[in-house]
Amino acid sequence: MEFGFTPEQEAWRREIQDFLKDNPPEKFPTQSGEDSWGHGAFSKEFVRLLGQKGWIPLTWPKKYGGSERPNTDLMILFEELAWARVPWAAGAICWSMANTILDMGSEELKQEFLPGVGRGETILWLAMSEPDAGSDLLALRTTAIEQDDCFLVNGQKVWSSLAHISDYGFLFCRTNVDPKAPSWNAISILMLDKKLPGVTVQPMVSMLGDYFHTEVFLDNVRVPKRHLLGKKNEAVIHLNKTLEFDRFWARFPKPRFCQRITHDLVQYAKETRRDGTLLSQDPGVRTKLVESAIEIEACRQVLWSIGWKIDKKIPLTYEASAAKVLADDMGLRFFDRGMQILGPYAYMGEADKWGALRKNLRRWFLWTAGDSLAGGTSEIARNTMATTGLKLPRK
Amino acid sequence: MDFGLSEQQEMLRKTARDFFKTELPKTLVKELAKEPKGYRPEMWKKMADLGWVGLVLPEQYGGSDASFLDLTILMEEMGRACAPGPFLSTVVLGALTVLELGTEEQKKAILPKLAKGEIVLTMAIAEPHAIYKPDFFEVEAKHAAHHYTVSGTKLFVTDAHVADYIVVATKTKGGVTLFLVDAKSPGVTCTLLPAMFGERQCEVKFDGVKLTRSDMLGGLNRGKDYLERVMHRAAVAKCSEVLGGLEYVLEISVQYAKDRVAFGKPIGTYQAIQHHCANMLNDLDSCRCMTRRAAWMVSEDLPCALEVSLAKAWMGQASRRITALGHEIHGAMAFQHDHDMHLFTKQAVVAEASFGSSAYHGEVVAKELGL
Repeated sequence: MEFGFTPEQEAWRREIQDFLKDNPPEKFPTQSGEDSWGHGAFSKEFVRLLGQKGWIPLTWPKKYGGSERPNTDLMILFEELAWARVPWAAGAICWSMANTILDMGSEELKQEFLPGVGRGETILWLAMSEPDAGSDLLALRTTAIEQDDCFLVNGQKVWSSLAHISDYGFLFCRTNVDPKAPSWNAISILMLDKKLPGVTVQPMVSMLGDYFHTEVFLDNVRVPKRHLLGKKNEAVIHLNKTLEFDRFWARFPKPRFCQRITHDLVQYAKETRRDGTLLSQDPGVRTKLVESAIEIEACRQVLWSIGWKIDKKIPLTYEASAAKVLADDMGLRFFDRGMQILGPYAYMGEADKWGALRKNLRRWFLWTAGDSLAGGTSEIARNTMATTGLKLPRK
Repeated sequence: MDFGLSEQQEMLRKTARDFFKTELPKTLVKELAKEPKGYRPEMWKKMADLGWVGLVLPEQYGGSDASFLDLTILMEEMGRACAPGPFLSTVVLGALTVLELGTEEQKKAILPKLAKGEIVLTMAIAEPHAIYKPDFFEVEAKHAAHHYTVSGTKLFVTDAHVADYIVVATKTKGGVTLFLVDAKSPGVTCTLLPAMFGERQCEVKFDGVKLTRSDMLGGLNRGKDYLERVMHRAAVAKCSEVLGGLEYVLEISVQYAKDRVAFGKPIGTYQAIQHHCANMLNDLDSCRCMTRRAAWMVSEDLPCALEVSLAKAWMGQASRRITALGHEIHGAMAFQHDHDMHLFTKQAVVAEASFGSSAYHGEVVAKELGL
């Protein structure tokens, strides 16, 4: 056992911090107001800069533009980006999809997509859910029928995150339409070019009042056969791996992000007086901050231990689902406590130095309503933990 | 970064698990809990013969030179076995204190015998009006001529009823001083306090106990900073015990959920039960990560006030949740004395209050956050 960082890892952390000091995240233009454990937005310019640094493909093989660094370095990078609250929404999601391409893509497909993703120029979105297929993904109805050199795609996706500002969809579709075919042997993944005729992306207004998810309508879209990812009808076999990337990596930065907000809230509590008492001396406020700090760190340690397992190539069973449940439950409680600490002052004007904190907390709190549902509901994730992790019987 | 156990730690764990499996069935744990002593000296001797009592001591004092981290792996197994006896008291509170603060003479007199299992040590810190805060100690060592006279009452002294020596933390002019007191000294009286479980806590009264400078550990007024180190070690050791216990709770709960049939199906097929188990698993994993990191930091002698308190505070809360769900899954069955579940509920609740409650450690976290 060893819980420290090597001097090289410490130097890597400082290198990232210096980069962020030279490139303050708030200076970048943004195209989306989504959080994703960034400061509340997504900036193509910032993501491209990360790409130029070679930090998106950090762990990939050299021939795809990577530098073959260990996962631990990526975890350090993610933590620093989260602490700095950079506008990199979709960064982690995009990264996890690129890993699936690395895992199951043909050499041609890797050459076509990975360099662009690595440079931060190609943005991918995950086109999984449909109106009648969410956590029960295998119920999906979008079809892709082979025709000449194409798949002819028809159907509808929903909750496609950031498709309106992305380039390619990671499209889960039914390639065996025989109703008797078992679902685990009927679904494929296609790389869907958003520019193809027949693709309509319709942003959805969220309860926050802005866009993050989209509906994607697919009307006789001709996807070239070479954009089939992996083997036809075998996507389900790889689904766990894709979800593993999504559930784990998309949540890995979250505790560090929440620690940054805790840090800000502590500062706020130390500088804010109510009824003659500093908030930092109010027992209720102290308890909320302490409970948050403890729970966030507990979550963070588990995520590090899972990252370590991935690094060690120890096969995961329940861990990605556990990461999702832990991080999303933690976030729900954390932002709720944050709102309680602000109390009515959450709705004060934004002229003073705490204006941004108030505005962001209101957003983040609302955002958590979707957290436990994203990446498969927390209920489904708990089922997975129980059945694959603890081997409880399914029936 | 390495979350895995070393080969030696795996071996230690296996030896300990096998040992307790044969030597200490839970029926015996329940019997021993009713006996005044609370443990079997024969088993203590066997544990010493296995090298466990002296595990972290240097070879020159009859030890095996293992690390504190190794010790916590052993303590996880003790927690799993609900092993009664003065292990934490003798090793974590006693031996490590003598090793760190004792003169060569004190070390030679105490440690080899201790490692052989011949003597038992403990430490007296808390008082009726001071729970681990030395600033409020009332037990005082008054200096007069060539000796010190100690008077006052210490509380929650673990295993003092069987201790040969008690390290007592006293108020002295200008600070806090530790003394190594022979438990049979005139003026020392020990009364067993009510117990929840197999644990043994005592009230120890010091009534004009006469000591000399040579009974001091670490010198005059050197106690306060050292007590913080003791608290770190003891809190982590407690977490390790409970961690082992909780691991067992999850195992028996999952097994029960697989075996018990209700409404025609094993209850483990019902999502309500599956979700309880998943929540227990997440709490257990986080307790393990927090405890072992804190143990590593203590072991490496790194500044660890925050990490220890994070671990102890989290363990206090998570252990309540895990044991409550364990009861829920087992149903009325676990309410019975014959069942083992309640042993761990009691272990967890006593541990939460020992060496700093969740509230106590929460306050440490608050200070570390800058509040």
